[in-house]
Amino acid sequence: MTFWIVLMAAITLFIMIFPFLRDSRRQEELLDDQEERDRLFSQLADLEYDFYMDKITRQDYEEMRQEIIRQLSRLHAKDKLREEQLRLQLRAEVQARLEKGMSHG
Amino acid sequence: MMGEIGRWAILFLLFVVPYTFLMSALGGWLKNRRLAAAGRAGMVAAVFLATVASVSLLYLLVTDDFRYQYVVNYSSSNLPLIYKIAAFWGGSAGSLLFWSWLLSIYSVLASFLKHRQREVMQPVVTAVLSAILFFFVLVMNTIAHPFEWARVQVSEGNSLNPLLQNPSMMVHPVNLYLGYIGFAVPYAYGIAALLTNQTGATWLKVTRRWTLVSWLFLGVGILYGSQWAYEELGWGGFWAWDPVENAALLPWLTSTAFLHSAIVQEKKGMLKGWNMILIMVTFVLTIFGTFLTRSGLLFSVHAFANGPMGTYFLTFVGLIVIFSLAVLVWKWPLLKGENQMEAVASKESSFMINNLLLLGSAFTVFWGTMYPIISELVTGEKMTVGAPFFNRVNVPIFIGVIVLMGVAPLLAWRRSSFRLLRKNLILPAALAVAFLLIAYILGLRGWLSLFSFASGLFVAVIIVLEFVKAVQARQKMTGEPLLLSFFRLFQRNRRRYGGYLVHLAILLIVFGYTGASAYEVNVQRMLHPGEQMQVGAYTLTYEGLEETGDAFRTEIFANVIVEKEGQRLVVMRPEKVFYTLGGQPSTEVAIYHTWLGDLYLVLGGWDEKTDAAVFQAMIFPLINWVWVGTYVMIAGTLIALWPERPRLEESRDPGLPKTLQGAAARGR
Repeated sequence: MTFWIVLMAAITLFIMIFPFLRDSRRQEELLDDQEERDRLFSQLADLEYDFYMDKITRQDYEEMRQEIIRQLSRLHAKDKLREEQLRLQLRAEVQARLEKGMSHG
Repeated sequence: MMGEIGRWAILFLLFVVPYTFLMSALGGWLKNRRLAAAGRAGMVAAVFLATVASVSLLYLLVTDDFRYQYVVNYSSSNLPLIYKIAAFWGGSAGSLLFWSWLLSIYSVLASFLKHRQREVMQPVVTAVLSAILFFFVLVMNTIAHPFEWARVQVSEGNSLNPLLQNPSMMVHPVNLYLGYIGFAVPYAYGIAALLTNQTGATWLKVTRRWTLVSWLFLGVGILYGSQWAYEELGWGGFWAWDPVENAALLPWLTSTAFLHSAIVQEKKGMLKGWNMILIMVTFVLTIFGTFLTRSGLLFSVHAFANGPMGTYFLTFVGLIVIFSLAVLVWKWPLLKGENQMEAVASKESSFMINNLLLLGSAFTVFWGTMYPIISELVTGEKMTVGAPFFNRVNVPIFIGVIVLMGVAPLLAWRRSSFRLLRKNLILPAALAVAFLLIAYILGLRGWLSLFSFASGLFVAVIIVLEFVKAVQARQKMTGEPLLLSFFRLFQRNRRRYGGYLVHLAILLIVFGYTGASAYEVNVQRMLHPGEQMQVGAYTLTYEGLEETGDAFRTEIFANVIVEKEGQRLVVMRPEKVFYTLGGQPSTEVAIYHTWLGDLYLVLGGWDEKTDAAVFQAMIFPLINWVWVGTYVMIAGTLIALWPERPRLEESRDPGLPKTLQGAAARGR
């Protein structure tokens, strides 16, 4: 019986210290804007559904749809700007490394 | 040997769970991935130990090891195997171990969920769940040990309470526990969202399925309990507003509000404060309900002082309330809505009214449940609050909720057109009014019951029309055949249409309970063999008594022939069972089921010389719709839970910029 209890304790201990024996991996994080984007697309889908199901007038539908599309376009523009900034940053980094490599060579 | 292994497993938990808490809390505070991982590993170790302890207790029960007090208290050698297993959760200590085991499994699953903001939130989630788990581990190790040695050496156990020896014992408590315990996960995520300042909709999206599954288990547990009481207790009761029943109903009401209110935050970024309060209240009520049933407080305030269990649980509830309130007040500014409510006639406002109605109902149920305890505490005299109070207050609220269930799907987000709303309401309202008139003309009375039926019909028509119009709209857009369009409705938007199916299930349940309560027929008669009694349209002829049994039980049953309009339908055999090992005799009712209602027959008592017997015969119209509604609810919830496939086709919206079209298709 003592053997089984000691075995149980050993297994427990091993499980608990396992994370200290291996590399911890970084979890990829999505951009915060993704949540906002998902919500706006979901609103667009609901809006179309409400219109087809005769719950809102065409005028309300057009007005609300344009507003959602404007918000999505603004997010899209932010993404483009971020993408451009990232591209410039990468270019600068690559340039710096190349220059460092050439000066050593 | 297994008992000792179980004992040590529970003891080790006393160290592993605090370690889990510490590592997770430090990992979250210091943003250290390795410490957070150590916290998750600690939770895995907790599952391992809880599983070992649970398997050990099951082994002791199945092998009739009467060296342990728990086995003596809740099992016996002649008990069928399924009831020996059911004894695991049949007593206090075993049920606490069962709770801890389930909680540890839920916690480890939650700790390894992959989602946005995981690195920030998950250490806090694990810390909160481990703190909750520690309470149960502490109680098990101090005042309710499942592996306590028997105080007196015996060769046979006391067996499981005969009332619990029913197949429902395998379903009802397990479902309730899975429901109660499941709410710990969204609660932990709510706390984590506040503490890590991530009060967007991520925590709701991550926990949506957890909440829905817990809600389903709790609902099914409540309905199964109702069915069990109906079939087992021998007086035809299926809901008595009993404090133990109310303890389960309370978190179900608030979690129903939470499920709906969460949709508003996901879609519109509103009702953030509401959602946080609702999940906190739901979780507190799950623990409070457990406290009520275990503390003895329901019997008497003085019973509370007879053991420490009540004190432990009350302290735990108090700590949860104080902690939750403190975090909520501290982080309240983060819960400001991202949008404002624009119109009364909107989905957002209907969900808010839904919150108010369901919380209102929960408050009255809570007040009615606690009033006898409070009155005894204050005046020394216990004043009972019975079904009339609960029905008088809650039936109108439930009618309001049902009407809202019909109106809300007709409302659009942000604002609806009153003209179109009127147009969509005319037919359902007209049919509901027509029903009221026809029912009244046919002689049906009871305004609350009639309004229940009418409001249910109103909603049923709206839901059917929603399906019809959606299929027509889909056919117009896609040219699909009718059946394919109907199937694709569920495929494309499982959450919405699964939800409508659940609403239909609720209507079936409402119809069933209303019919059975309001139009019950109840006849009690003493009959000699050969005599008859009339119950509604049924003629019952009593033939006589018979006896059967074995070494452990004696069964005495009556043979009663049932006829309707001269046609013989069935022979019913209500019985009484007497147990050799002692204890109260049990009543086994005989039930004849039809879609329109049950004929329910109870054998009261008899004269041994003449075989004259007392019968109580009842008719419960529509009661089976409740049980059918339970299965429809399960089906609807499973549909709503099913993961949706990513949609690859382009959006059909020609007005949408090309760069947004593909992504827009995901939202449809």
